[in-house]
Amino acid sequence: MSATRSKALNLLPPMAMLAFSIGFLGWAYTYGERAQQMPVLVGWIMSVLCALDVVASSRTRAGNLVRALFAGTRVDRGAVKGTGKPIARSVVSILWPTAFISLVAVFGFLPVIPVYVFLFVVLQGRKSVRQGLAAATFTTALTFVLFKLALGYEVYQGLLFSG
Amino acid sequence: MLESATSALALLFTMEGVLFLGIGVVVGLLFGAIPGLGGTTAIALLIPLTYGMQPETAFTLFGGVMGSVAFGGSISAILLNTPGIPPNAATCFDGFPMAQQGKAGAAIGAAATASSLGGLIGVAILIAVIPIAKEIVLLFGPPEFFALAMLGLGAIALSTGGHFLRGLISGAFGLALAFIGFDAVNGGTRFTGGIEYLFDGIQIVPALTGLFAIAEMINLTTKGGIVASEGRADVKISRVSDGVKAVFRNLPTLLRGSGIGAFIGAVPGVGGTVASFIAYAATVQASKNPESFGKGNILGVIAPESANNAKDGGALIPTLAFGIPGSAEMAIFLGVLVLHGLEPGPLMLLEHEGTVFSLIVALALAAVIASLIGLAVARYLALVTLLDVHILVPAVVSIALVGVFALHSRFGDVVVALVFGVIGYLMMRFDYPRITAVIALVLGELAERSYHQSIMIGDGHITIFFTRWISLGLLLVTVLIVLTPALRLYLNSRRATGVRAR
Repeated sequence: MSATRSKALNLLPPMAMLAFSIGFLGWAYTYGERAQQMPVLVGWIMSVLCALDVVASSRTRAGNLVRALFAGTRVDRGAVKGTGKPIARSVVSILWPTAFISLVAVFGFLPVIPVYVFLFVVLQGRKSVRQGLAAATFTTALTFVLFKLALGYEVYQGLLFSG
Repeated sequence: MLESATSALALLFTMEGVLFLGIGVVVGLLFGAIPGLGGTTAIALLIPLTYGMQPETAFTLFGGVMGSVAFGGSISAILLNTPGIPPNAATCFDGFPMAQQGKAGAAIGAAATASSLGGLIGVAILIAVIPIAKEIVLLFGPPEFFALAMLGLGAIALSTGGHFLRGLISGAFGLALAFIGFDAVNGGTRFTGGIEYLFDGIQIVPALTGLFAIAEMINLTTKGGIVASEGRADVKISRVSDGVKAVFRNLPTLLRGSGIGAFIGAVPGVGGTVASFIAYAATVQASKNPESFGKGNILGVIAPESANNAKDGGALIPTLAFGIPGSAEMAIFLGVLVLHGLEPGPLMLLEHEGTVFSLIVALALAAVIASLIGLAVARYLALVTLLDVHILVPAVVSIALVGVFALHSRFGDVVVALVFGVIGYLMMRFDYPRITAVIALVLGELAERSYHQSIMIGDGHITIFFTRWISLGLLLVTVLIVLTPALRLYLNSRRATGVRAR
């Protein structure tokens, strides 16, 4: 990874948090005098801290000073932890539960759980079809017995089947 | 007090009480033994199952979990050199060398005995402190609660190691999220974007399930492989009784570890990891044979394990008495209390003494029962850590999300759990501590309500916070905490300059 790209990746999370805090602060000012008191206070504090974090994440002299002030010792932190991890793998890991919930929204939990578990075990885990089937059957049965039979809870049926 | 304790014991020894305590212990042992899960995830997953239960029964279940997680974690620490939960890391130093020397049974026996006795000592300290805590909480008004909430957040941010700045940012982020929804002080809603679901605010259970259970599962998916990083399937356990006897032969080590654990547990934000490492360090310093540590000295297992379990009793003191959680586990536990219609804080101790005692009794018994069950199943429990994450992840995600929906039958809760799962994962990935966000999310309402009440008491003046000595003292400590790293840097620089000058 090039030094410039690494620097940019370091700055990305604090910049995103700074954008969030400024957005939050602006939104807080839209409320009445009393209702905005605490959110405005928190918004300002968060914005200042995030700005400091942006500075701390830049590998400059000022950044070193801010890092030292908040760490209590002279530090030379390299890349922010995790930026070295492949982004694609993280995206895939997030997409699995997202896809699961999207399908659940339409079809409900009980039909989707076996499909999700089976596909996850076989495609993501590269396990055998037999292991996938066993894991899918076990998880679905456990969910049904625990929530539906033992506890009598309602299990979401999805937009398609909830009538 | 005695009456409350007796009725709590009577409740626990019903069929239902024993059953749920047992379930809690087994779940706690399992989640403790599997690195990356831990008590926080276990409690988050179990919350929906307790919705229809009596609070006392639910607390029996959670007492079982909290009392057993630490011992579960020590089993994988000793047998696989992989701490189940971070506080078990200190146990690895001597526990794993003992296992390599063929003394795994003695190490597990010592860990089991130290855990259960440590848990009992922690609970005894909690019981002793409750009457004093009751008197203290009566001195607290809104300004003190606001100051205490700020102190809790500052202390927890400071405890996040080298991530103090990001810990503070996470705390502010959690407070920002806590403002979403109906504003109980001023009326009207805030930060909802017109989304009806958000009018009630961010629901704590889906948010916590997301931040911990779902985020951990996303993280495990990214890592892949098996749960334990250094898996060894050849675990042999024998001569457990040697370890049990060793604890009774070294009572000062046990008492010192337990005392340190209970004391540190009561300080918000410091947590079990610090407690067990300090207990370990104190034992090494007190030893006549310090060079034997790290090579399989059984005292190196007894000290951290006793501290690890005793800290729960200590951590319950600020959680129950002031509604200020000292750890992520306790923050989730606060969510459980609210879910069951109890408001943690002064009134909890004064009006729900019986409920408080059922939890305490459950915690005490769980520590003992967990050790007994743990000894019987230790070998098999260690093998759980060799489970492939690709089998574990879809099962945990499915059960967690079905549970989240089951709470209020709202699909919005499931979406919130997913959103917070992604937020939690990103926070893990980019080093923003989740614990301060969680604690701020839980404390947000208390902080804002106390702030407005204080301003009303002070006739609109902010000086109210500085004219009452408890609130002033708490705020001064908070300022000191925030300035601690800068002060440390200044002192280090001066020392270095002095050395150079000499």
